[in-house]
Amino acid sequence: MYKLFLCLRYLRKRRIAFFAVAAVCLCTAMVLIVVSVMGGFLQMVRDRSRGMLGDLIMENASLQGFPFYQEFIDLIKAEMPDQIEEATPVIISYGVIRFPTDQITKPAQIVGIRLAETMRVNEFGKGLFYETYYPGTSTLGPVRMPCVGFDEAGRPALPEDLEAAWQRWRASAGPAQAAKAPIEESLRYNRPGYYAPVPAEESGGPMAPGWYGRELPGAIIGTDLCARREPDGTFTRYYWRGYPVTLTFVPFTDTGKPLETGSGMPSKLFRYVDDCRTGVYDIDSMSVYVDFDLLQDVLEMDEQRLGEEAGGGTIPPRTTQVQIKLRPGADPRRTRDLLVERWREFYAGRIDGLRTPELIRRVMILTWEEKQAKFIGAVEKEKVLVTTLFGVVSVVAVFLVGVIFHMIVQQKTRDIGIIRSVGATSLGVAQIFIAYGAAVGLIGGALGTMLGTAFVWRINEFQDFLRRLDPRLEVWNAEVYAFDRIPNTVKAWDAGVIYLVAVLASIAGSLVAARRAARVWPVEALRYE
Amino acid sequence: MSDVILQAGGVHKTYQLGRVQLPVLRGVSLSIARGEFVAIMGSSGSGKSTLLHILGALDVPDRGTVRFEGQDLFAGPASRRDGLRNATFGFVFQFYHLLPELDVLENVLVPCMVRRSVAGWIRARSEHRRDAARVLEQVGLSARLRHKPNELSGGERQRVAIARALANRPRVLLADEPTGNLDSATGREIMGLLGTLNRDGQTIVMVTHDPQVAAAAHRIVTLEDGRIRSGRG
Repeated sequence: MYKLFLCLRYLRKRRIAFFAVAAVCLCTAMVLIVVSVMGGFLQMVRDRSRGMLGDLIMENASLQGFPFYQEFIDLIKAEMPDQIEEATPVIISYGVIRFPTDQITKPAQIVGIRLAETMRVNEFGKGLFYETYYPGTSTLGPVRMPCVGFDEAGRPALPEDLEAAWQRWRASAGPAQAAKAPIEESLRYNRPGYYAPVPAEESGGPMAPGWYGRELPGAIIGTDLCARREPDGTFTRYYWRGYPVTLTFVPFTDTGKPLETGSGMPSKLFRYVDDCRTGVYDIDSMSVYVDFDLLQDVLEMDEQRLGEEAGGGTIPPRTTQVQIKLRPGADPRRTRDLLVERWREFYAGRIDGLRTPELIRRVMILTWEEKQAKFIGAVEKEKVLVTTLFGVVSVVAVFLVGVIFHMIVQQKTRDIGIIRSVGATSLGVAQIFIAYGAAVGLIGGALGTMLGTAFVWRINEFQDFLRRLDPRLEVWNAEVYAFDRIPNTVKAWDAGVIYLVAVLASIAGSLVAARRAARVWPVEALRYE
Repeated sequence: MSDVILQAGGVHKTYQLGRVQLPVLRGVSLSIARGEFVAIMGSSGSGKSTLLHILGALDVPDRGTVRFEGQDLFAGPASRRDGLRNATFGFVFQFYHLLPELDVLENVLVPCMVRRSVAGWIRARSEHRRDAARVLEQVGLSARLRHKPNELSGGERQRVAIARALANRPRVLLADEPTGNLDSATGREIMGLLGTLNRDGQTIVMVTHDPQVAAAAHRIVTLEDGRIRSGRG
């Protein structure tokens, strides 16, 4: 009992122990913040990688792509229904995007997708802005420009199908979430970046809401290409929905040479139907998504007839990638191995007669982790390195606790003699200081865990505050770190482990002093006043 | 007087001061009877405090034996001696040696806490508080229970030290210069208190350099150069 009693009494009365508590608190908070942010960064990389790619990816890392993709998709869906839930082809190409009224031209990664299939294979749909609030209205097919007008009662209104979709979303989201939606009823009519008013040339009539302008194919644009991020985390869109944009393409032949066309690089007009935010800045500032078949046609990756001078025959349709979603419970690596084997069997009978057999031979089938292995691996190593460095720095806390406890034992030498004189054992005396160290760790660790957790939860608000104060104080630049928000989740396991280590480190720091206290000879300690 | 309660036989103790060896006790033999009040006198450096510490198992002799009720005090592990110090002996020091962060009552309760686990303390604390309050009343401090040592006079602090020494009802009270840091009037009060305790049956061994203080004892033993020069050993 005396050990606990004296430990708690010394904790309250010896102010020097507060410095030890503060040291443990700050080191615990520091390590927790680093582990949480780096761990969150790693988790975001993993989640986003998987979210954008599906479970398995088939590609040959070339711009020409590879043929026979649709036959293979049909084959594996028929032969492996228990493993394969969905598969979709994707074309990845490069070009430029131009916004006519701004005369702004930017580089773009132009991705051809089958929208419905893609939304089943990966999490592309979750990042769409207008699709969220107007479900079922984003399309890559031909579309006109939706314009806001006035209904019969003179109230602002959108075209009927958009109004209906908006009401469907409101009903499913509930009033609380609907109230928080950036597209509020009062905003969607006048605020730039949402919907255009009925064009002036049409306004001679009642200005009925509807779809105006000529039909153009739809394009989904990365959010950072068409919007500006505000300090409060919202986005201000530069263009109305349905705004025309021009895409210019760089097609290649199946042999890898730039396609020679008499009229220069092909360009087409599209309508901006939606924007996509994955949270990965590199993607959101570069990507434009268009219809797969349209892009395949523009890039001349669909079936091509070869002229007599080229030996005649046809080049089968090509795609650069196939993304595959597995059923829950299917083992990605085992399924990958099966598909690799099946692909070899599949193309063996088709490779003869191909002008570019290497396009098939170099097809790889990877899990999403393997596809992103270099990036994920680099982030993992960075996490380990930074955590280790901060862990080493935290060893300072151990030494600080040790020094403080050494001073406390010096000051308490007489007390130790007194306690020994009334029958306490040397082990009991040591236990007082070990318990003291544990108490410092328990309290400092708890405070540090709370401080670190609170800081991580609010880290983006803190960053926004610094940015508003002075833009030069911005510490997390989305252009550098790929993600636009700092990870702000603390895992209970991480917090628990770090807290436990803080307690153990504090005990370790007190051990030398405790040993010294145990070896105090009571007669010597009591010799003087 | 009744039977021998504490007996030292041929006790030797040498201190190592750097490279020099300093013999402090050179074969001291002493018997203390139950209920006796013995004063050990001697000049500074004669070894009287060392002898007291060895009699109370606070120090260990190099040679010789100390028996308490016939049992060798230094046989067995150190923890046995620690237990004896808690249950059997009570120490009073010249400089009081109270724990400054604890109040009067808590200082007196420390020896009781030493012998109890946390669960045992919770069960027995009321009883211990009552006993401590009784002892403090006995030494005249019942009105000072919540005062810290720095709020007490020298005499009051020494009374607290005596109360702490009596907390576990020791068989032997060992006092090392109990009046050495007090004025004469306060010293007489403390000696009066010790006398009262002895009349109530408490065995007391006291170290002093003051003949007037020693006169209160039944027997005076004089140490000189680590040996008993006079008084029955």
